[in-house]
Amino acid sequence: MINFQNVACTFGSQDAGVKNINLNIGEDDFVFLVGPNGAGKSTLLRLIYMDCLPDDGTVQIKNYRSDKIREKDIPKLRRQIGMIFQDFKLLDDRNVYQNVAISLYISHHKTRKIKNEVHEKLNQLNLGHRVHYKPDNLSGGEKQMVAIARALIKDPIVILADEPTGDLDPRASIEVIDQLHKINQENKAVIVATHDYNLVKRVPDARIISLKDGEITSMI
Amino acid sequence: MIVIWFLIKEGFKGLVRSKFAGAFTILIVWITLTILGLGYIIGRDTINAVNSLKAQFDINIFIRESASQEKIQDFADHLKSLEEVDDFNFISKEKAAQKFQKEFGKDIYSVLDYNPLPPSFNLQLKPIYRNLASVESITSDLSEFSVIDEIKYKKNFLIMLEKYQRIILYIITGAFLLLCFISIILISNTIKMAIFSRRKTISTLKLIGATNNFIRAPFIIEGVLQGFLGASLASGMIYGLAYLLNNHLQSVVQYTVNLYLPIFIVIVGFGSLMGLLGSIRAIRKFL
Repeated sequence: MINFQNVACTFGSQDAGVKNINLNIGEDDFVFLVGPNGAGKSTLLRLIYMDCLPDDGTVQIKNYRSDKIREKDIPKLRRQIGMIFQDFKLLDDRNVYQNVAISLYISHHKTRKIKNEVHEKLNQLNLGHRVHYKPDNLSGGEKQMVAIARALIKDPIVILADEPTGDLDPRASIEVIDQLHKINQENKAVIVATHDYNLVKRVPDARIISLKDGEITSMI
Repeated sequence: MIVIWFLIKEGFKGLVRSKFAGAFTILIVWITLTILGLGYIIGRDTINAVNSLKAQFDINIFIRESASQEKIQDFADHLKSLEEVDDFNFISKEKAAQKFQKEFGKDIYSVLDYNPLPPSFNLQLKPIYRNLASVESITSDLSEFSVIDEIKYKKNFLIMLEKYQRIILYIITGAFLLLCFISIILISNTIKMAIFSRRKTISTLKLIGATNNFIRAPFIIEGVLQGFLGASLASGMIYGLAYLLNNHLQSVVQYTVNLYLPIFIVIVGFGSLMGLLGSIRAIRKFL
């Protein structure tokens, strides 16, 4: 489903790039990208949601190829990818319901369908009682659960999580990883970039890809 | 349709979120369009006054005493055929003597032993030809006729009217362009500030798959709303001032303002257009 062929992507001196990346990720894979800061984990994720395009090689996600994609097709691709970030990237001026519903408005869904699906998803993630809360009034773990709800609501082909537990306490971190594992067990690909090796152990059947200085050093 | 409704609501919410910056822009549009609206009304009424003064403008064409009746008739026929001529009438020597008596209270024959007043034509031009260039061209053509002795008109009066008309037009056009420019820049800057303060939201929306149009639309709606609200307040203010003048200040100012619905429609439409242009200008720089 996701294929990297001889991919190289370099930035200015401040950002970590990647090189010689050859990688295949299947539709129901759970993948951990591990490595120290600057190893290229986030760059790999950015290449998948085409926030940056490779200097060499190609990245293919379903029918979208990095060497052929038009700028106007990038939003279409991103609507099929669920994204979770360390800093949550929630909209501070909107409540939990609105933060999740925006994904469906972007995809032109009908209001009634949006209402039903958002409430259902928030209840599934034990956020039903927080519907009208603004992000500022939520704990870190709850914020990340809202971000997961926003990612899941559009029924994506893959969930990308960039250091999703970076700002969370250990208990909330475990809850988030367990939730992502649960999502994966429903046959959805999940790719998590982390440098917390303790979390990797919680998903025994996950593939582990280690990166260092922008290159893959091992794949398990 | 649902998305459009959602984006309209987002535009309204954006206006509420912009708080003081949005309120300031509305205030500027309000003041600008009030000045423009009043300027238009004053300009319109001044030009109407100038035109009614111009309506009194006429040309007197004096005929040679020796001209035959037939030649005078030919000349009258020529005047009738001219596109520029609105109306004219012939004043014979006798009619001129009667006019003299009416105006000066004395019989010309008692002042002089004879009637020196020549026959003449009094000519009125159509409104669009009541300007110096047209008058000079017409009089120059007419002076070619052998029956003509002299052509007289109030040249200085026409020059003075045209001068004031031109000054009024320049002032109104200059003020109009300047105020429009200021309004568009201010609306544009407010939207730029709004975009800048919401840059985190914009980048998040892009990450979750929003198109540029989806992100742009609320900002454009916000700009149009700012223009619309400012223009509506300006319309209300102009109406209020006109009402005050027409109903309570007639003893002080002998001037009645006539207002028609199209004026308000144009003001509101123009305000919304300024908002639209201002927001498009801002968005093009950021998105």
